Amino acid sequence: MKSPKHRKRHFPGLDAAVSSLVETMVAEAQGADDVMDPEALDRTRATMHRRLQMMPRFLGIPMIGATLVFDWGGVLASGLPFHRQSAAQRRKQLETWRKSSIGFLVNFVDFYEKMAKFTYFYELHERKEQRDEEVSG
Amino acid sequence: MKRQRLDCDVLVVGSGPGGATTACLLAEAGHDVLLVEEGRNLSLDSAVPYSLDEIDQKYRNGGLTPSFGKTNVTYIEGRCVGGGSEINAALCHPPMPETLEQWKVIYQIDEFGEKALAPYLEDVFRDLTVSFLPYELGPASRKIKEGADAMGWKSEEVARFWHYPEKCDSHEKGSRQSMTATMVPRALAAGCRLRSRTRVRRLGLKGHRAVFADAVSRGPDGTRQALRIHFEQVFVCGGPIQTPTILRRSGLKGKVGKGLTMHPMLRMPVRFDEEVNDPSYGVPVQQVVEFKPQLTLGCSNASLPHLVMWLGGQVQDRERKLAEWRKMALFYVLVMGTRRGFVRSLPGTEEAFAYYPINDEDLALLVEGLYRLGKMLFAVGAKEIFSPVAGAASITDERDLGILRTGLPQGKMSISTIHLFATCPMGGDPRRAVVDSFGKMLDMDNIWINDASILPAGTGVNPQATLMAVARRNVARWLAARGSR
Ligand SMILES: Cc1cc2nc3c(=O)[nH]c(=O)nc-3n(C[C@H](O)[C@H](O)[C@H](O)COP(=O)(O)OP(=O)(O)OC[C@H]3O[C@@H](n4cnc5c(N)ncnc54)[C@H](O)[C@@H]3O)c2cc1C
Repeated sequence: MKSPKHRKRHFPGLDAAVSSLVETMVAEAQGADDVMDPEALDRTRATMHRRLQMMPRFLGIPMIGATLVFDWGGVLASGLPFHRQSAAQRRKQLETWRKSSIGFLVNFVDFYEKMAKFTYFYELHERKEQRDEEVSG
Repeated sequence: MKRQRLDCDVLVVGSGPGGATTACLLAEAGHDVLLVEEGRNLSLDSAVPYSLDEIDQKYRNGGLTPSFGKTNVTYIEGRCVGGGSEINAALCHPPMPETLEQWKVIYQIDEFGEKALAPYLEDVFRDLTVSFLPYELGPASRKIKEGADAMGWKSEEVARFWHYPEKCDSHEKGSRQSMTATMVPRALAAGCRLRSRTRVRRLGLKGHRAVFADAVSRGPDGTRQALRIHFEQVFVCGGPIQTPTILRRSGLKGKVGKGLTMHPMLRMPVRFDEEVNDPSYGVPVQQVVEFKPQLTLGCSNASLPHLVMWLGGQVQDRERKLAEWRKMALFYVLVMGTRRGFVRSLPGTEEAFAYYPINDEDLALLVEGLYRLGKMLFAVGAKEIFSPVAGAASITDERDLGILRTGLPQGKMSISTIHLFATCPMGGDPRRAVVDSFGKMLDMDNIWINDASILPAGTGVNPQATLMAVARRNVARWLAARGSR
């Protein structure tokens, strides 16, 4: 028997980049006055990391690379990496990628957007319902 | 890693509808069968359907694998005992007779067609208790029915692989008839051995025969065990993406993996004034069949998180909309892809890489489908239609629907598919076929393929019933050739 061999990839700066993307996407999907649920947000971040790890390597590695490029690409536009930008600066940078004529950049934003929103609202509503059912039942 | 040895008469790789059917019928005929499945062996209620847990447990790559091309198409594959049947919508659509007759001629398939397949389809319907709803259509299905009636189009309720108890008034009281509820337990009862969490990496070949399979088994704690499985005959049933990958890794290339085709699909959230989204009815079952097989219009399951996901970035007043999510449903357009792509095994990673060059005609039909869907739903009171293009404005006036026909930028639509086909097509035409008319690999003496990869083209309907009937037919032929039934 061979001991467990995980294919986890560790990249410095990835956590901050993923977290800030997730937060921004979730903020976009919420109402202006809604407060983010910290537990659901944490779980969403963790799920996004897991998704990146689960991807086939030919996709996961470019996606991780693109996440880091996206983060540090902010320096060119506003002098700060995405994760250190203000909410308004983040929205602007996202819009630039969303409207890009390069398919990969559009797909990149689309991936984070769909996954972050699905996961956050899943954690917020469905998971909560499941937990409530367990408690009452 | 010390390699363990296993022996069997017949090895079946993959336990989806193709593999589970094969293993079950062979074991019931008295053969010594080993069924090997890469994913876990989980009960149907191990996770809530369509939940994140289910995605983690039962989907390959977390459900997100793109096929590449001018426009990428994301495809979903099940990876667990039962394969796609554990996670799918369980809609059971018999094959269209004209499709079968066309395949018979174009792909030169012997003893094929509506009549030839009929007894096997009947067996599938019986074994998987294919049933229509024992209660009235749910509100989203009714919208499709009434909308189609208003447009003068034909629509119908699609039956499901579902068992409903007597006096059943809700979807939850019934139970999915997936492979883990039907063919797998039957196979095990007949003496078939099952090894889950075991991935077949490649087949070892000697001349025109495969003699062993190299596999890796994973324990729940992540420990790995190498296996070499010796067999007399092997059925490869890993599904349309994985089957060609296994074969190509084994050195069997040529046409293997080359004919990939699919049913590309677009989803569109639509809002009404009244509630249309009632989960107690289960997956909406009504489809517009007027334009089949080229074009199907229908509605999928849509919990709040699904809707948020597909609403994209364009929703302006999200709070109000999300508070009203029961008034929204997720409709879809599905087309029969006309192009052929390919599947390769990426060197070094052992991962499958799929290429599908969706073309302008397919895209035009998808977009035309959205337009027709929009027309139909406005006719039955739709208030707002959300474009499948991120950033595009929603449509609240029927007169603006034309934008769906003219104004959708190709690279920005989220196209996905759940129906894949034809990477190892069957038939008698050696220029196209990878297997003969009954699933035996050409030029190989003991390799059989018995999953959706042998269907030579898209079915134009939900494919599980067709592929299971074909799988049964092939096993019947295999057994007959060996003097057993
Ligand atoms: C979300 C979704 C919804 C769907 N809805 C419907 C529907 O409503 N009606 C319908 O008719 N069809 C539906 N389909 C399609 C249908 O499920 C598939 O056509 C069908 O499952 C294909 O069966 P298969 O046996 O060819 O392959 P699969 O179901 O893909 O099974 C292949 C199995 O082989 C295993 N495997 C692969 N490689 C290896 C390996 N190397 N070693 C060991 N095991 C391996 C896989 O893990 C998998 O379990 C849906 C599919 C999806 C994904």
